[in-house]
Amino acid sequence: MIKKDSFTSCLSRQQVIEIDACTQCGECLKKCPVQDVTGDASVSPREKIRIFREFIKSTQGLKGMLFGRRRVNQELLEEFTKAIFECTTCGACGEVCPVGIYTQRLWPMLRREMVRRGLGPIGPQKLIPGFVKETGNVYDKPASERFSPWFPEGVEPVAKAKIAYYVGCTGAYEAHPMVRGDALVLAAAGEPFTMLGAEEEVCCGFPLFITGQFDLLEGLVKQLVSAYQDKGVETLICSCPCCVNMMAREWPLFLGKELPFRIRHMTQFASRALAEGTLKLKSGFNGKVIYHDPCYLSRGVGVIEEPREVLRAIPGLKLLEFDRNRRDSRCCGAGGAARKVFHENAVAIGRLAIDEAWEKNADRFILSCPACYSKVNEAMEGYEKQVRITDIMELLAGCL
Amino acid sequence: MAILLAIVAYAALLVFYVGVTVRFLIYIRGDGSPAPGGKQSISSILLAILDIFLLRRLFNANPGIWPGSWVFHISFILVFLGHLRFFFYDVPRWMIVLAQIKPYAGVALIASLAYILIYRLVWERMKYSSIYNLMLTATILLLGLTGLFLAQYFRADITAAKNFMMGIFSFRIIAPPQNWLFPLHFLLAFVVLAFLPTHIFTAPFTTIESRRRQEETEGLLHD
Ligand code: SF4
Ligand code: SF4
Repeated sequence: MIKKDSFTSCLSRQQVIEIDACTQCGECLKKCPVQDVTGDASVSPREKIRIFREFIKSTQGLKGMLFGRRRVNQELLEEFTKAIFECTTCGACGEVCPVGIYTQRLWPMLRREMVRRGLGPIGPQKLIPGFVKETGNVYDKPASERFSPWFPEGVEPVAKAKIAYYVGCTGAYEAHPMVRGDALVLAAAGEPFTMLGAEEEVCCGFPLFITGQFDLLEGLVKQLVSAYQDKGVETLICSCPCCVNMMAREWPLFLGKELPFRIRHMTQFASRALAEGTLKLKSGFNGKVIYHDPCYLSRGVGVIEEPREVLRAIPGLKLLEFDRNRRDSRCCGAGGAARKVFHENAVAIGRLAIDEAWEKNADRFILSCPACYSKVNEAMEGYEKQVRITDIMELLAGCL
Repeated sequence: MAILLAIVAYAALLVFYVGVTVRFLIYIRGDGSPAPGGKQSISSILLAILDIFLLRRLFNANPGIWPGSWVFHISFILVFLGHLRFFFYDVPRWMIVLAQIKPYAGVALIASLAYILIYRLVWERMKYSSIYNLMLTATILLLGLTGLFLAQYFRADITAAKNFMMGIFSFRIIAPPQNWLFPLHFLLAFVVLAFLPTHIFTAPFTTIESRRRQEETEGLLHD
């Protein structure tokens, strides 16, 4: 039950303990991309936790008991709301945190608290629930355009199959080469796969979850799970790390039970198909590529080696690594539904990654996330250091 | 003087006990969000215990500060345990042993805190550390230094100190030992108690949970 004046009613017990466990050591500051580009200490993970702890103390803690429950300063609440929504939820702070605070999940819950108080979300994020209700996607685009502009001719999903492919809103509307690559690779592997219709494949719920707007979530999750169940699906494949995260971590919670199928990322499917020989490459790629680990894929669900296996399987390709890679990877700026609100931050963060790719003389900047794909492309626009951006499945499909 | 010291001690103890109780109540009430959770294997729990003992996550995050921090945590516990004999009439053998270790632990405590402060202030140029963190480190360093001086140079009468402490805990306040440094050491100890960082109680749980999560993450998308 949500209590009106409580600051902890959106949090799990573990999260309340986590807020108290922060030692204020500041190790997280060294890894925070928003901190890197803004230099603003108030948006740092350490500061957000400290301020939220103060909110709890002055309303429910000893301070509140001794000096009476105080109204929390409205200005401070608004500043905190901005800070919490400016975060890309990349989770790098939690990864490095010496006491292991699970920040990638804590921030959405603190956002939820601010939404409950009528302070969040910010700017266009407010429109997401309405868009999802109206069109089924977060971009307010017609469902009829979800697949048609990019779906490859000659690829035929079947009505029912053990494998299903979920495209996701960002891929479908903002990263066509990527989802086209997915479909081509799936078809080339030869296993029949199914898809929901363009009207049926609605948002997975991630943008709502990450902006703390939970109202529609249970309905969306139940609708999607039941649709895939009707198709006899055993494995649901998706190339968007945010969707994959939402499905694997949050869907069971909103469904109230375990999912009746497995969730896999597209690179896992491709790496297995390559290893088993069901996916054969006719050509290679002669050049150096640098692979960026998406935060929600590496830190989020631990898919780290499979994308590298896919890339290493391409003849002639030389794989480069970012200095910060795998679970330590640096956010590209696209995450946390912040990219449409704090556009300058996102571009500046994206350019930090571009700088490194450029300095390392990479011929291609390889991504495996539609949000990264879309945002790094924006960051590349007009920038003097140009590196060609390619999705991992786009590259693989080019070798089929 | 005795009354003043007693008031500070009772106030600090009150803040400490009530604070812990209120926190506990907040913890058990906070359960408003669907939270992932699940079983944790024995090996993962054992690894988590090792993580806590070795401060492994801190080592991974900042190997430079780790030696100072690890020595500090261990020596702090030893120094604390070494003080227990002041609170018991019949002192068991193990407390006597710990009391004998205490002077060495005390020196280690001071050295480690000085290392941490220098590391944060000079090496990292205060870029990441919080003022709270720094103040707490400095206060404990001062506490350690007054303790060291009390033990080595401006010795207080141990029996008088013990009687005074026992008096505080049995609400029979008597005069403290005749030593100018003792009240300062005593006050600092209770200030640290009142401002004791909450992570002392909660960080072990979050460390264990982070191991569980790591295990869960590995199994989320992998068979
Ligand atoms: S690293 Fe963890 S404990 Fe340290 S300040 Fe950041 S969130 Fe707090
Ligand atoms: S999740 Fe990423 S952007 Fe947000 S506070 Fe942590 S490190 Fe910074």
